[in-house]
Amino acid sequence: MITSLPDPRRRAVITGIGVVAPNGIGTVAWWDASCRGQSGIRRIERFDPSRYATRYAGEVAGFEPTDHIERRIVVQTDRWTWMGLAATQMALDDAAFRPAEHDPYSMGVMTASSSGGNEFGQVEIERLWSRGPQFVGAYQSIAWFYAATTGQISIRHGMKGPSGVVAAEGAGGLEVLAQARRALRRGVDTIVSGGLEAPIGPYALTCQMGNGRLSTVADPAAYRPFDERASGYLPGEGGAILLVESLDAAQRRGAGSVYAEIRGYGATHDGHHPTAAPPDATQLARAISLALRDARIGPDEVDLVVADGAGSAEWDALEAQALAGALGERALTVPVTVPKTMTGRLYAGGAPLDVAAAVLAMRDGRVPPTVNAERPADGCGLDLVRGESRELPVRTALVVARGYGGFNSALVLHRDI
Amino acid sequence: MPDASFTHDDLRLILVERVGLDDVDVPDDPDVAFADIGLDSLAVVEVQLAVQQRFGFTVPDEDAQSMLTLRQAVDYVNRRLSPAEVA
Repeated sequence: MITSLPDPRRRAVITGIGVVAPNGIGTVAWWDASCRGQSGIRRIERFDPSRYATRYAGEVAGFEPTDHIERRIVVQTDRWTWMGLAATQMALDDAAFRPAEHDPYSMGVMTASSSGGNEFGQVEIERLWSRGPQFVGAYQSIAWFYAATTGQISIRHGMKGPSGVVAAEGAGGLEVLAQARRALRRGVDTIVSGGLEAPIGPYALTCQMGNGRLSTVADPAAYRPFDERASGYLPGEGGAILLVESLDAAQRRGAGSVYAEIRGYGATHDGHHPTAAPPDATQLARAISLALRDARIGPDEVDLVVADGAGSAEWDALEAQALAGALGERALTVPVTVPKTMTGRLYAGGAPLDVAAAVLAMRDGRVPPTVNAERPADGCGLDLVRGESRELPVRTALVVARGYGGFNSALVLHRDI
Repeated sequence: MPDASFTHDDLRLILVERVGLDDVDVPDDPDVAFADIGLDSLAVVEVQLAVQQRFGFTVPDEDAQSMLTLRQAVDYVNRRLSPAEVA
């Protein structure tokens, strides 16, 4: 029964993971590559990038939509939705969850998106201006908008419960998991959540270049968070779909694997300026503290931090300050990693993929590395897992995500051994 | 100059290319309804647009909505293309 007020005793757990990433299609391929420190960032091949100041990105090479969905759906959706549908099936298979066996109203879909159907929209806009409005296709109406992936997932799997999309740029991927937890606490059993992004195209890249935070260094290794050479980030496409269930419901259906619980969540906004960095890390630190408090855990219990890793000196320093502010002395010793150095920043897909990394680190006792960041920036003071993966028992992980415009989100994940 | 005629196979091509049906999903029987081969209302609009873009005439919405079967669509386009219409 869906209630209007959330019951905080209902617990949200992640039971399935599906990944489409530049360094691996499928969770196994991506996790294997990540643990080996293998990056998927290369010179852009989808179009000729030579006239763009940023020419490197994490593209998902070899992703064939018809491997995952029928042509009838392919023609009416963007690449971003293709990847989302593929990752959803992977997550459902991983969780051995069959939607047809469940009450449609007990299942919802909540994904994050930051730019919607870029490629589809670009093609239709070109038709509009080169040939006229009568040459724009009918499917533009449903392919571009931010909730398109959510909609197609819910239609495909018959999920009629509370659904929606969350847009908060890079923080959206954690915000949407918090939204999923809210729905589960109100009585829904299952939420397909997470998010992906497909922003590698001429128009989409041009939009990103305007944010002033992309690296223009001509090197696929240019994205180096917490490194003295930090020059900005590189973008990528892909992300992760996570099946989130209420613990009761997961146990009732005999779910085989419970990866971890979404134990705590905190979010703030810098409230400072649309683009400029805030003068200090107070708000980001507060988001982290709120998440720890919500999880009822102390700084010393955090075994791993999957950091936002902006990749620019100013923003990296702020994140280091925030960790110090929220974790105290523990900030100097807790292992920190940025596996998105191997994929690029994935916008709505980034934080869900980081959550997947955190829960697999818990499962395997292995933390994937931060690559290309061999020279610690002055005053960084963090124990960054550099170059190679590290064996480490992890029961509690903190995932931090920031979104352009001032969004700060933090999630605490916990796994009972 | 527009094509002189529009055939069942021409419609099949539109359904394959624009709606994403597989060849085998388009029946040879022209009296099958679009709804029975999985076309929703937006897919019918896409067919309407494909016809407009190819032949240059506008298909009013009420005409598109009365094209329920493959035969009705083919016949409609040929009526619009007929010399009496064009003149």
